[in-house]
Amino acid sequence: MFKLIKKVFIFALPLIIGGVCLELALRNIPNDYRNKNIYLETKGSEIETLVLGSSHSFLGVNPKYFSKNTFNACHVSQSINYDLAILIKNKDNLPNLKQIVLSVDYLTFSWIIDGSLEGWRSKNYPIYYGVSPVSFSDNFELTSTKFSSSIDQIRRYYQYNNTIVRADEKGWAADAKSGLDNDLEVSGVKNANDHITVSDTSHYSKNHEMFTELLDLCKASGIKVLLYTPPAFSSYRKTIHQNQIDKSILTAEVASKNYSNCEYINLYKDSRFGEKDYFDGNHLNDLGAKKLSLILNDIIEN
Amino acid sequence: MVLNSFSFLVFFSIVFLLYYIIFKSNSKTQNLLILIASYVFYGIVDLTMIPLLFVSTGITYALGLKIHQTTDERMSTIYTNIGVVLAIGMLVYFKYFNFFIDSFNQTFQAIGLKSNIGTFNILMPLGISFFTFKLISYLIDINRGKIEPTRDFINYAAFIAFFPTILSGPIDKPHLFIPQLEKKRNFNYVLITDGLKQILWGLALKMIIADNLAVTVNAVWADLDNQNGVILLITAVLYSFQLYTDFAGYSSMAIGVGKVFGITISKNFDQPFFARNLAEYWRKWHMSLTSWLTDYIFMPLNIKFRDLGNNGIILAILINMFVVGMWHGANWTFAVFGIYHGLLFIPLIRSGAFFKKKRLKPNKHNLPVFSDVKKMIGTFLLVTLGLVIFRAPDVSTLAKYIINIFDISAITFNSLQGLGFATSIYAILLTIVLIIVEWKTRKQEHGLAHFGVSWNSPWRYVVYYALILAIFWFGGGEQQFLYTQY
Repeated sequence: MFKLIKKVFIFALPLIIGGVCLELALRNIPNDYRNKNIYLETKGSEIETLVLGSSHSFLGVNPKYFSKNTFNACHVSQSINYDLAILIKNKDNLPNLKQIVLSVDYLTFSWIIDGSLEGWRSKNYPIYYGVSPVSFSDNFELTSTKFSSSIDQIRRYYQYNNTIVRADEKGWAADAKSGLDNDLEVSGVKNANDHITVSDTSHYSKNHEMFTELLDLCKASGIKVLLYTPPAFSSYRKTIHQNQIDKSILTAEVASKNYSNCEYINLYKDSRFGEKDYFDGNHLNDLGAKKLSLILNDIIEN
Repeated sequence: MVLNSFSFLVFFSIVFLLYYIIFKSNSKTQNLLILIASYVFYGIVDLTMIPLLFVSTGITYALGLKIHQTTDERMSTIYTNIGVVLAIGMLVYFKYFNFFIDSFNQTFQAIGLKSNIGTFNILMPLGISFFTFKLISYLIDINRGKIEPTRDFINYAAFIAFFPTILSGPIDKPHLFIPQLEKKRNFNYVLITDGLKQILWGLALKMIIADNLAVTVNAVWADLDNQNGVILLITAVLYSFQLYTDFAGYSSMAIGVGKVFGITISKNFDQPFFARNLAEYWRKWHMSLTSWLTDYIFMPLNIKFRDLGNNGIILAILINMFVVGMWHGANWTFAVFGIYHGLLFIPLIRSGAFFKKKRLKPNKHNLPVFSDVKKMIGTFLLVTLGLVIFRAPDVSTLAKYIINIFDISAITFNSLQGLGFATSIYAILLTIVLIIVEWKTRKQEHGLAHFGVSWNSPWRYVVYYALILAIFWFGGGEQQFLYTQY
């Protein structure tokens, strides 16, 4: 028995050492999750407005245009469970937090990142934010993504110094530049179809519970919440299932009525956003982000 | 938790150490650990269905004792039927209830009548098709006098819930499995290392070949309207290998895990793509299911219809294959799949080939003779068409697939790229290697059984490392095994 254990251990040792080295190499690569967590931990006391949400807010809300000290704690495909987890985990780091900005969109109540096609991103939360993992493999970079992708990432960073960091110091995705020739008609339809495919209304109840928990937490702490539905290009709006976005909007409207600390603005079809403001069918570029940020700031300040 | 996951590796390692260090004293403690581990495993996968598993196990255990205790043959049959009906009822409810309602509604609507019977939100317990069959075979075997009921509930519960096989089989027979639990399993270095090699083999099949073939197969099925005949034909062939390597990979892993714990699990595949006719194919594919159905469906029907001669056998086969199809799921495509295979048996029965089991005799170069190769290819093509039926999500999509096979428009490199053929090309090449390896190791239990036995251990380790690295390199995320959904 012990002979077998010894043999297996000796056999596995190079794999374990190799695995540990690769894991450390991966964790050492700068990324938005680590950077944002460090910011929240070290400069959280300065933050007065915190932006939570997915890529709509990651690209669409630029803290630079807010009057108060604002930080964008959004990530691509971040679902409501991680919005809540980040807030809970950093409660003590944010003593001066007065305002949350949270997007409510097509997928807010009908999708969760864990176990989805985007589920490979879930590991970033336990590893870099220290929140509880959903599955055991979420504790490690190597067990959460394709091995070949991990090697490729290591090679690109250590050999070519290619970074995967997209956010600026305040957390806004600085790479969605205007002037790029992205076909908004095509991307709008494609993104809408992708969202329709992954949408699952069975998540509604659980997600709504977490949404309510977030609102309750803010109310108890005297924090205001600004809910907003981000603008989307016409091609996206025409393709998406109207009853589902209507349900999200209605949920946000009801929340703003039931919570005295909560306000909601629907910018889904807002005419102030034109073609020049979009990066793709449902994400804003830097011009659109400026516009949106100023609108949100205006509501917060007034 | 899937068998090819990191979390299963941790779980398995813990159970292994407990089994041979803490719980090693006797078979009772070992079986207790197996039972606890099995329920923990199933609980992680599907916690809400633990009560169902436990209650169905308890009821059939009690019925088994009752069947054996009673001297009245009529009563023992009644008890058996109660257990079988309960088990089948459970399976029908969870798996087929909504299907029947939908079919009922569609039929009524098709003839112009209104029917608004709603479906229920029924979650199917994972592995139900597998453990239900174990429950049924236990009761029937006791009633037939083939086995005596076990007096040890832990043994019985461990048999039903045995974690390597509960989700996707193989479906073990009680007379083969339960006696193994009654003896203490001593640490057997040779058996355990063979088990570990078989697990590695299974992982390679699943993660290197099956998961990468799946990229193209799924891409094609998701976009049938834009595919031409050649791509559909290639995809059909790829799916045959995907399903085989996925399911055989799982079975290999399950059997390997069983070996590590000193338990022999039934073989489930025997190089089915070397079958020379469909009868031989079904003796080599999903062998535990075929064996179960032969014992409990085909043979009783065959006896019942014996007065009809060959027509009786045909009828028994058609019913048997229909059940094979429907066992896989609540969809008319599975019924078509079963009937398709049943019909293909007719010429075999009429010609007498059904009754013959001819050994495969290679030529002097240890290769199959040309006549056998022709039969293997022919059988493979028939099986592949059947698997297109099997794979189709519904009958209309199946029809679209079959019709589009006759589309002879040109393939472009871009279209191949868009379908993930670049990802699949490695898997395709490795599938060819697999066919060669399977031929060469056809008398062995698995591809690594006698691998490098005469080599020095460093060279063997090099190959094992290469295989493990290939598994990591080509493996995707934790992909569900295909047969977990049945």
